[in-house]
Amino acid sequence: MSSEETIILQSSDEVNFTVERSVAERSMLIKHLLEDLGNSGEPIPIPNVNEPVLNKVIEWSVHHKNDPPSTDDNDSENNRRRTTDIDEWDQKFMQVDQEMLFEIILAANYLDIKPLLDVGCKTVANMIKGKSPEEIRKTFNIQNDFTPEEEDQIRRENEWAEDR
Amino acid sequence: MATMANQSQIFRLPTELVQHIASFLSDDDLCSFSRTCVSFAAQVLPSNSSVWRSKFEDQYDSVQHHASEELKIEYQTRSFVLSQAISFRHGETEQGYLWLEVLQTMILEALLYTGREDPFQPSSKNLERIAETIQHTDFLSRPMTGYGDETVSQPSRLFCAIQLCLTHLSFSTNYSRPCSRDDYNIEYVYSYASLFHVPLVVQGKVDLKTLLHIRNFWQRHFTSSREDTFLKSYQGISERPDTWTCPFEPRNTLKTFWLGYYSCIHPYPGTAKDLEISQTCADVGAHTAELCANSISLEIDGNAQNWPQLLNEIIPTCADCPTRHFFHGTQKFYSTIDSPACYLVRGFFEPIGEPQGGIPGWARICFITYDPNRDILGAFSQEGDGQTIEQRGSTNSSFPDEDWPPSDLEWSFHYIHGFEGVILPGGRIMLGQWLDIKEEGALDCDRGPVICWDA
Repeated sequence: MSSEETIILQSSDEVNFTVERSVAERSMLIKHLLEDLGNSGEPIPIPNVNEPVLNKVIEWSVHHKNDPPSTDDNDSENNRRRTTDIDEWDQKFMQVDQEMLFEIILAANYLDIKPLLDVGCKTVANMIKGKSPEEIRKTFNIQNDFTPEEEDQIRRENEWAEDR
Repeated sequence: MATMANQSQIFRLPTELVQHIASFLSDDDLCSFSRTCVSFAAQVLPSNSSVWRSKFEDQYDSVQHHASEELKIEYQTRSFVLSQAISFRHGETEQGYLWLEVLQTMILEALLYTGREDPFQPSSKNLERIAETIQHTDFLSRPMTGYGDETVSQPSRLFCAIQLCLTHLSFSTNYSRPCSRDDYNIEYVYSYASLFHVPLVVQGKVDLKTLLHIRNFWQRHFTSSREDTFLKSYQGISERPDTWTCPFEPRNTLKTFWLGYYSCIHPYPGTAKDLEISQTCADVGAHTAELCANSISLEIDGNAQNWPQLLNEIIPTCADCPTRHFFHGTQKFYSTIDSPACYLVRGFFEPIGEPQGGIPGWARICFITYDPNRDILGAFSQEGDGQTIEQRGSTNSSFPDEDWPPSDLEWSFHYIHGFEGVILPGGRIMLGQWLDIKEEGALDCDRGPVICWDA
């Protein structure tokens, strides 16, 4: 087997990462870029993602490089009811501080890596699950900025999901 | 943005990602999340938030385009209504009616969804959601309205239609418990003491109530270990409605192979009370449930003489049905399914144009099963001529070329039973009643319930 073609990715703070093409192509953005422009061998700049975050994204992509590609319409996903289940490796991978968690989500969104974006969003959803509004505020350091009238209005609006 | 930086990192996420996260939340969690701060409330709650469409499409079949405003209301209504602890113990309350209406909408959508004939189409989310909802109610375990009152109330057509559409679940111990003998009137099930056949469909209107009594009879006898009747035999059949994931088939055409049961009662009960105690012959001696299990194989045959005037006087065709199909076929008993012995079948099938209980897709099916007396009703073809029932082939192609139509009903047949039934929406289950054609008009004419399903 011949050694696989490599791609150089450059973080916003100008650190280069050399990765197999199949790893880089977990990102739909890069995949389409390579399809359109070809691989010149020059580093591809990733202006929105810094070194530690790009490092994490590459770590995830290496682990998942053999996963079946997700289709544009998420057909396979639409077949099943949505869950917040996350596989064990991904759960460990996502054990990072909140700053890094949101950075990974933003990077996955920018680079168009749908499965990583979903894992990130499910991780946040799981941090919200079963908590009261006050507990959620504490978890994410959110200020309650509602006026009492607004709070009342929201409570009324939410009546459909309460009283069960 | 300086103040934001001191605040939470979560505010760095753009609206579409906040909405994406929110779409993974349960209804309760979504409400708590929206109550944390003004920003999240504004991103999540408005009807143009993608959360509602995501959540709706996640849980229901998307068969029609809803505007965002409508979709949010529809999602919230369904969530609210389906989570109510509903019971029809004391009849159909306003709350119960609303619940039935939501189920009706979901069944209509599931029928449309499964009707698309797309081979890659995943199973219906609406049907999954209905099954889940039913599990938490007594809807199928006590499938009659007002069962907790001294006198049961008359179920509405909506109630009956939805019950009947969920027949496959009613036979499943995962979704329902066996119903009670009180959930049907055995006199209706057998048309006890009727001199003549009482039609199940009159001028395009299906007698949903009687069908429900018949369904409930089968539910009781297929699933209750307290009845030593059909349970064992039914469980021994591998292709059963309760193993289906979808009771709705894409095409509303006549299925050609059916399995099912009929029930009879001998001797003819002297009083209704006798019938109530011993509800079927399947509980005694040699006449076991196995003998009541049979398969029917049908083939469309355009000849209108499959239903001659003699039969039309007993079970008449519908006067204004534009698309009646005639068929012939064979009936075999399940216990001897590998032997060539079979009875002959002739009949017709009439789609019913009007919705019943608000749900379309019903059809009427009538046929006879018979053993011809070849001394009177001669056969021309080599296959049929001079052969006994045992020798006759079982495939449709061997249907004999016989001297049809018969000149009488009394002498031309050793045996002739008539059947009128209704094929439920989705085309996979038929429920109805059989009668002994020769004895029609006599007080002790044999009659009884029938169920068949597509196999």
